[in-house]
Amino acid sequence: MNMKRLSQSPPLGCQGPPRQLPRRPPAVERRRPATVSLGEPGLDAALPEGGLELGVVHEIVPAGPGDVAATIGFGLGLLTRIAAARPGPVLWATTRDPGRHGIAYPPGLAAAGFDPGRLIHLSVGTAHDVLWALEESLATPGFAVAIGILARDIGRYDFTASRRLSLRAAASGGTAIVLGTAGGGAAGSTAAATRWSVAARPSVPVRHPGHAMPGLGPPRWQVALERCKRGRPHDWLVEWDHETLRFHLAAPLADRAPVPEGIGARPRPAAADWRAA
Amino acid sequence: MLAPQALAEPSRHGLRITATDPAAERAGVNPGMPLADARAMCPALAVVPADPDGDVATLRRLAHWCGRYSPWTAVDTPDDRAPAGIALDITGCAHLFGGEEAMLAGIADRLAGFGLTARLAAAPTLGAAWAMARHGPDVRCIVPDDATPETLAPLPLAALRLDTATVEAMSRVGLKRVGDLLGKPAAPLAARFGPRLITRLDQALGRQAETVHGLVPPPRHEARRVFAEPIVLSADVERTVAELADDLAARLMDAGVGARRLDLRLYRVDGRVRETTVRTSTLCREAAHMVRLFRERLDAETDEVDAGFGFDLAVLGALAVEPAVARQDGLGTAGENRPGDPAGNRPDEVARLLDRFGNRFGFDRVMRYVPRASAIPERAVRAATVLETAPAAGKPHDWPVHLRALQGGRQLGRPLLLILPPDPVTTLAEVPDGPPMLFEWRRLTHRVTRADGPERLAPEWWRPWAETGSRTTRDYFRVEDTAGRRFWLYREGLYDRPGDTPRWFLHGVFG
Repeated sequence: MNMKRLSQSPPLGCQGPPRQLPRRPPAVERRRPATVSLGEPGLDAALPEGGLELGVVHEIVPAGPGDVAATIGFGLGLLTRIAAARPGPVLWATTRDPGRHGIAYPPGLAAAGFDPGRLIHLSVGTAHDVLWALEESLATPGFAVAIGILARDIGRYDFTASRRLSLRAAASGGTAIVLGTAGGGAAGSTAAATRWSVAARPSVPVRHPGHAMPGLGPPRWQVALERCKRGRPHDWLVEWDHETLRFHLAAPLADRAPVPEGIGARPRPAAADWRAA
Repeated sequence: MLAPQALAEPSRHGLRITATDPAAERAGVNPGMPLADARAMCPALAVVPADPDGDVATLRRLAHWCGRYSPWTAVDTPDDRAPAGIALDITGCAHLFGGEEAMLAGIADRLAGFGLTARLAAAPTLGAAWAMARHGPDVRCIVPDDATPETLAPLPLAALRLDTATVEAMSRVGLKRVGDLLGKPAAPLAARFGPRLITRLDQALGRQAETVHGLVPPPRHEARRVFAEPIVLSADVERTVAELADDLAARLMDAGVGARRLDLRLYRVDGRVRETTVRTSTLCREAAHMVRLFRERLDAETDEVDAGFGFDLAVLGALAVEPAVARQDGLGTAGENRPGDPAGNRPDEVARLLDRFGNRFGFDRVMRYVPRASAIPERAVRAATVLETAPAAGKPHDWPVHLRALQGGRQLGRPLLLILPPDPVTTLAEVPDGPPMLFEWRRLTHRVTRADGPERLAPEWWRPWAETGSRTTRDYFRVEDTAGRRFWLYREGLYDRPGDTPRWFLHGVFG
């Protein structure tokens, strides 16, 4: 401690006593917020705290109307990362919309690396109820993380609502993720710490011998960090690894256009050889 | 002076009077009389259609209200045209209301306040009370413990709860009053008029036991507050609930038990009862938790508690009581409940919040998922309410194993979101058994660029038809379109099987 003081003291010849140095603002003196790493240095480095901050509200929106599933996939990745770091159950609160976007399917969640045994699924009638449930879960110690999926009347989620959630989260250290499936509805300013926008991208094709059509690679998303307190917007091409439970930045070279047409009509040298023989 | 009134209902021979008020009775109108005759005798008679179902409902509500006097209350359903009534077992209750005299007077006062005229009788047996209330000389009477035979003797035989045919048969042989049967040998009577006669006589005289079958089993533990002045305001109700909860929590703690169901009854001055029940997933015996649960319910039901003219009695009862030693770990998560540990698990607090969710939104909305051994996607998972017993700590459901059983060696073989019911899609496939090249879902055309599959799921023929719904083979494909969106499609039916017309469905989407 003393060493540090000394090293920070003004060098010889500097005028004025150290007392008159500009006082550090109190905001800097607060302890570093808890974070969880996203498993990819490239992503963590772009976040101001060196990782996804806990004790705040994060927003995720789809980039386009067809990207809801990709958005939920990315949100599930964040949930998995946070749930691995914090004990307790995970609240999944959603407005009821049977058949529209589909309902969370636990084996699918398990396939993506999330433990459905920790899931508590709450389906309620209105966005207001979802926000209420999120707020109550933030006020309750014991939940690892809560995600609220707002499919309808997203206008309910305004600055006031996000501020309420943020204050609760800051007081308790809990984390909430608000996922609006309607996209641009919550474009207004909110008190959330980050806001991510997600779009689906074609995955790396996996070639199966003997099949005309290539198989699917790991899911790949264009993830844009649209807004970030004390940080800068950023844009990545991200893949989710369900085995190691971490995000990966897709190698730029692998980011190619959709498989060109005619990939199925491969030449068949083997057959020609056979005929020749 | 009010106009004479009567109720009428259709019968085989036209409309008949079923009930009259005193004014109509004075004018000579009697129940059972044809309406035409009644109109002729009393032209000013106001007739209203009878509503037997409404009568029973009202009587039931009134019986519920009588729960304030005794937990064992029951409705005498009207059989064989006997006027219906309410039976209370006041054994051990009368002294709480100042003795039988004062109790009957109090009941009569309150019923008169509702605008009801009542005939009341208190007797050592249910049969005797029934007889005195309907056939006794006074509107209010108390039968002393040792005077039942003498009191009943002058009453008509109908007072013994016998059907009309038996009463008529007995009157033909000159048996008209209860006293005519006293001291007669039982065997010949039973042989001639049936064993029921003897049963009823013995029940009335206390020679055979009879109990009141209550509307609801009374709670073993309850707390109550009586108000001299009825309370109306929601704030007062909330304060009362808090006081009752304190009281009940102390009682439960003393008894070493916890409750799974709590029942709050607010008795309104005008004879209605407002009943609210909350359930909990863990044994509950903390007053603060009870209060919060009731607040959720009262919030969810109405903004303002409908108090009418006010509540004059509030009772909080603990139903479904269990010994608190059998207390379970809230959510099957590892770790103990350590209040001083901020980062540790708090199963209790989580369970309490889930109770609040359940009581606010309904327990069918708060779900946990449990694996189920079935390969059919819809059946592979079971939604369990949080009220169900949590899995034992340290032995959670093994999802990885279940998943491996479901999808075999494939990776990411199950979708994130399931579309239920599956959406029919139109497809264009290159080869009949292969994945589609093109499909249209919700008026958008998707061109498929990558596909995995097929994964064939055979129907579960060993289950009853009602459980499975369909008996066709499904071939599942995981496909990705040009934009990178991933879908789970299946083809139902086989091309090479005669009689099958394969159709395509979209069953889920991947993240």
